[in-house]
Amino acid sequence: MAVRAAVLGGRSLGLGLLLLLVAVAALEVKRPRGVSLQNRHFYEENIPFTCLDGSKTIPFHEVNDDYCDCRDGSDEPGTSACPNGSYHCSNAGHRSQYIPSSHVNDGICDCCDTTDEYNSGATCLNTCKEQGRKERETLQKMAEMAKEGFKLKQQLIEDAKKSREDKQLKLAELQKEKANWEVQVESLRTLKEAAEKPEQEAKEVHKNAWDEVQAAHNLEKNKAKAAETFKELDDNEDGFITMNEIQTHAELDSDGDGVVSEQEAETLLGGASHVDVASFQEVVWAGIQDKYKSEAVTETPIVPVVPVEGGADSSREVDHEDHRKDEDEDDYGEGQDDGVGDDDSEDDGEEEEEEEEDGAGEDYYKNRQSYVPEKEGTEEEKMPAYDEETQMLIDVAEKARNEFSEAEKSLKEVESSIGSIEKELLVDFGPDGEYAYMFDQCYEMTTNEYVYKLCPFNKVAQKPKQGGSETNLGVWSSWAGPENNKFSMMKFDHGTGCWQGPNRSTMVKLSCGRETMVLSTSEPSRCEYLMEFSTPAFCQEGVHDDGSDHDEL
Amino acid sequence: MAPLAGERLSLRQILVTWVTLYVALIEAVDRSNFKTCEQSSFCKRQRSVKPEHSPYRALLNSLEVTEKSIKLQLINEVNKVPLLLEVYGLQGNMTRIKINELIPLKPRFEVPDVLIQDPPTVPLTVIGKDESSLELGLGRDQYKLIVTSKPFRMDITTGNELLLSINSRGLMVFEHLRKRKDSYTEKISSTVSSMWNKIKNVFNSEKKDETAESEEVKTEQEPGDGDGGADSLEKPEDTDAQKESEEVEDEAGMWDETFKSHADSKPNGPSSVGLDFSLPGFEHVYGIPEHADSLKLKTTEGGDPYRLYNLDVFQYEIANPMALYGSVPVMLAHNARRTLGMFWLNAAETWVDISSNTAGKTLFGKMLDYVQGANEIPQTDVRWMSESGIIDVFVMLGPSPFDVFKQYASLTGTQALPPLFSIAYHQSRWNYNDESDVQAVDDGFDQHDIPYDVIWLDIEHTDGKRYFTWDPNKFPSPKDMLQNLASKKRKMVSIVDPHIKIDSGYKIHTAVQSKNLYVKTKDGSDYEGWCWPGSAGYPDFTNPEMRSWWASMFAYDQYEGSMENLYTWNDMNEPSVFNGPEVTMHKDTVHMDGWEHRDVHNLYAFYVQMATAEGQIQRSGGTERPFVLTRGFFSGSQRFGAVWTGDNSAEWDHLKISLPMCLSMGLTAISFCGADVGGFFKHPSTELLVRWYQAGAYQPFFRAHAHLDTPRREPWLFGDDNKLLIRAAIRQRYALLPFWYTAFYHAHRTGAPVMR
Repeated sequence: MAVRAAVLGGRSLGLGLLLLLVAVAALEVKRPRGVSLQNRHFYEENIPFTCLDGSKTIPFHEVNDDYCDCRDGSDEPGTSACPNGSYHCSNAGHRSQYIPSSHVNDGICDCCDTTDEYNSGATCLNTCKEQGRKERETLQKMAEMAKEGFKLKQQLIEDAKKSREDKQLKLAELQKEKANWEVQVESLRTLKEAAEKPEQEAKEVHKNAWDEVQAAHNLEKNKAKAAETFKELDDNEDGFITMNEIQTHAELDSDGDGVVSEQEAETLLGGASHVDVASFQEVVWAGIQDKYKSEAVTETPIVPVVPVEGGADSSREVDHEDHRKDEDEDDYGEGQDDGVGDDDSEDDGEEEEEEEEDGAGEDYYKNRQSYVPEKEGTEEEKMPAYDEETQMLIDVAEKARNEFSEAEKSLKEVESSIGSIEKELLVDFGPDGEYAYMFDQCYEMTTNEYVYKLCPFNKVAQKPKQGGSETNLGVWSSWAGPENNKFSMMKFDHGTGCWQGPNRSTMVKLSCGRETMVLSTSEPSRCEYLMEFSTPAFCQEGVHDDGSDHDEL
Repeated sequence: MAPLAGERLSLRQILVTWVTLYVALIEAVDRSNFKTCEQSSFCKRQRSVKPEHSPYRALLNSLEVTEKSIKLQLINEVNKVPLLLEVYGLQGNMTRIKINELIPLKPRFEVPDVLIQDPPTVPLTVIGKDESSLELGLGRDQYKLIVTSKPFRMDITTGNELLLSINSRGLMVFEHLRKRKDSYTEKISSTVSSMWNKIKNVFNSEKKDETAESEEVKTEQEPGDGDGGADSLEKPEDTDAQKESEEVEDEAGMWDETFKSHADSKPNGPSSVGLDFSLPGFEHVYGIPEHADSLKLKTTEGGDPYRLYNLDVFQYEIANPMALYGSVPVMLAHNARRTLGMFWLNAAETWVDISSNTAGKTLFGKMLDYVQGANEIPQTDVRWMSESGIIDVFVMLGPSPFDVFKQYASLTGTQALPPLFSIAYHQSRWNYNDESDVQAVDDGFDQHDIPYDVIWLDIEHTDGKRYFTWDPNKFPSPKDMLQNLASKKRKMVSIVDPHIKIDSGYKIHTAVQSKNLYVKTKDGSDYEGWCWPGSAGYPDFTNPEMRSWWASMFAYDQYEGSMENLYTWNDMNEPSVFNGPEVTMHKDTVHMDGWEHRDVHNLYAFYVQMATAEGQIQRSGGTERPFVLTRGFFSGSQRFGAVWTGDNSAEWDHLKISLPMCLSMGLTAISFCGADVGGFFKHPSTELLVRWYQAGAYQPFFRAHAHLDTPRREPWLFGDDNKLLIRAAIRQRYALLPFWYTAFYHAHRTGAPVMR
């Protein structure tokens, strides 16, 4: 049984053992078993004992009689009788310590001086000297390391201070630069707008002229079509189209019953019983041209439902899915060159070169299409090139636009530099900025399966060694140590979601060390990771409080 | 452990299909994965037989009385297949009734190894006999067994009191083994049957009337003389012939059966057995674990019968009669005056119907009225139906509950006396990740001054789900780890499941394969199923050679890294086969001596735990008591260790149901029972966790366990207040350990349940 709460029966010490114990006790300051030196005065021999919580007073011989009297367990410092008591071992040669009463005489050696197992039959060896020596060695090593680390830390603080100053200087510089660029952007915008106005007007003129030509052409074509249709419809070739002749074309049905009734035919003929060529062209044709199916070859209707292909900027409605990627890039270039979609080029400008993301491409397409109707035309009938004068205006405007967008781009760059410096300056790098050096750094640790990457103030990630995609174990959240030691723990959360579980998160526990490195990684609970991370920045001066009294060393 | 891991490590690759398959089932059990009675062809056939005139007749002239038993032939008057009835008077106020075919086409399976010995008999005496009945004295206390010839029935009485009637509702069905119709007889029989069908149609209505009439006549007769009047019920030959022709016709599902995508080839055809029992004066019946249901069994009219078929049920639901991981075909009937027990010794798929009516409406109600006065007396009727094997029933006559416990214990043994540590507190989780995790948890208990005795390792501790091995990275030095625990007198339990990874570099696999000890498919090749390691073989634990080899694997030099303080957990031993029908093994696979899995299914887990416990006994040279936890179980499993209620959920209902579940097991001798404290699936609220500790501390097996995907639950992770509450509960357990140990000792000596 490892029943640490087990209570062994009464005390039946052999006389010899008792004498021995008395002898041992005599070497120390005399006091009841399990009482620390500091508390000795509460346990005056032969004076009634008052529980340390004051709850009760009992005769002295009831102290350590293996019966729990005090609620706080203080009457049984040397037995396991009280469930909430504690036992003090002096551990001469090492550190003294308190152990839970349940560990007294439970058959397991807890105190290095063996005193907790005085009546269990367990054979314990006094290991205090050895343990003490070992611990002192360890502590010494740690102290040395802390010292060294602390030295490094001073340097880190120094560096951080300097770097912070540099950054602030740089920031001021950038602010100035930004102001310059802002002025420049504004003036270039004015220039651009000035150049664009005559350009726009010239283009308009050119286009209107072309539109007129187009319209006339279309009208003519339409008329020809109407005449042709008239001929087709005029089955008896009497020069008139009658209701009967209309009724042969079921596709002209308007109420969806598949038949052109007399009434419908009459309506189509504009209320007349028959029409001649002229009134057909004027009255009837407009009403039937969309539905009408030629008796000869089926032709595409002349008035297109969707704008068809025109110049270089036309939409590639038909096969844009297939060619989207390569065309996107081309289109971007053109789009900017001819000044279409200023908004677009501004929004997408920064990503322009690498931009292949589907979503963005699609957006671009949508925007592009809205410009298409302006340039409407048919395949054979391209708008003729601009005349020299217009072209010159266009070139001038183009140049102004380019200069403007260049300037704007530079402004954006400066702004983003400012943003990132400001962001960095806002991060809490510790009381003296000692953690600043980790910013923009990543530290890796390789286990059997994974490579773990800790990027302080940024994120934690895990990548399978065998290849495969990286899993986000959390992005920087905050310092998360206890109140009195806030900078002992880093918290990263909102990582990749777990199947049926929470988003992955990681706690990083800091320790003092010469090197900055990830010491261990574990996943104590599903999708909750724990890293141990050493850094000189965590080292304290003259650290090693072992937190105990040295009263009997 | 769970039937589903979700994404993790290598499982991610291996189980991708399973994950996708099971994702939809996350919320609760998918009932469509498990058969209803209607979908289990034999259950459907059996259940379609309604209470009526039984075709069975006892041939009293064939009576043969020996020192140990009496033998009688029964005949099915419809198909003329003769059966052999054997009745044994057993020491300790029990009667054993066996019914088998007199000359079966091939032997029918009789469950071995469950009884601890050939039950010692007492001679039966023939007290009276006439042409219609036979009266036997059952030794002492005026217990009598009356066999009525036609229709066949048996009644057990004491003094004036009728205790139990068998086949009184005429629901006995014994499907004899037969040749398949599509053999040489097919043509003839089909012609004959079509002819008969015509004739039958002509006569059918007439016949029914006649039968009804004669039954009326019968019920009018003076009760007590037992016989329904052989003369009036004697039917002309053609009736039998007709019925035979009916029976020749195969019903669907007799020679093959499919469930979902799984085919069961059923080379032996129909072989089921069923029998009804009436319990006049009893309103309350208990037992037949394992079901997540109330202690008192419910009537099953209008729903499915209780099912006994060991299954790995993912996220089982509570309050229904679906089968779970284990089966004990033992039912207790109890009233203020006496307790009776029935033990239906059959390891095949079994369904149990329970109905309750008033005794007055039956023939025996009349008889009761006669002997006890005319009050309507409550009565419970029970019907057992099994897919194969024979009818082998032990009637335990009590009369007190403790007598019944003792009687059942004398048949199948008592609870193994657990080593003291094993009734203390166990700390488990799927999974303690590595050796330093184990160390940290172990230290945590000392630091928080919470007693505990055993820490558990689930499947992730192995090298790729190869049991008897350790993950070389996470558990590189198991002996040091065990030594550390041993220095605090603590123990560890590691999981050893019975599915063996098919991997030519894995010595367990190569050994079982080369010894030819895997369960076979119907075609004679090694059966392969899908489980944690991926493709896996299933050792044939029904084979003593397999068991003894398995036991030898627990020797310290065989199970590398094991030590005296390492014990064992047998999970997935229903057996769980992820890609099998109902997540278990195909019924037409073949075990030792050609027995089908159909015959032995409910024994698999029993044998796995038996072999494992034997291994632990052997490794210590017989000096140390073993500790083995099992999920699947059968009658007799109490002899080998502990059982837990499987993969429950972190819900209040599951905490509640753990009590009747363990109480039911206790009534059927499996005392060492517990539920995963906190609930296996899902994340318990802190209050639920605390309450579960408080309840679990008072259940025989006390282990906290949790699913891989749940947050950590060590007792100190929920704030000081809750830690102290949990600690107080665990300490109470420890304070009462001597009491628990004594209770287990009594269970071990007398069969009395620990939890009661």
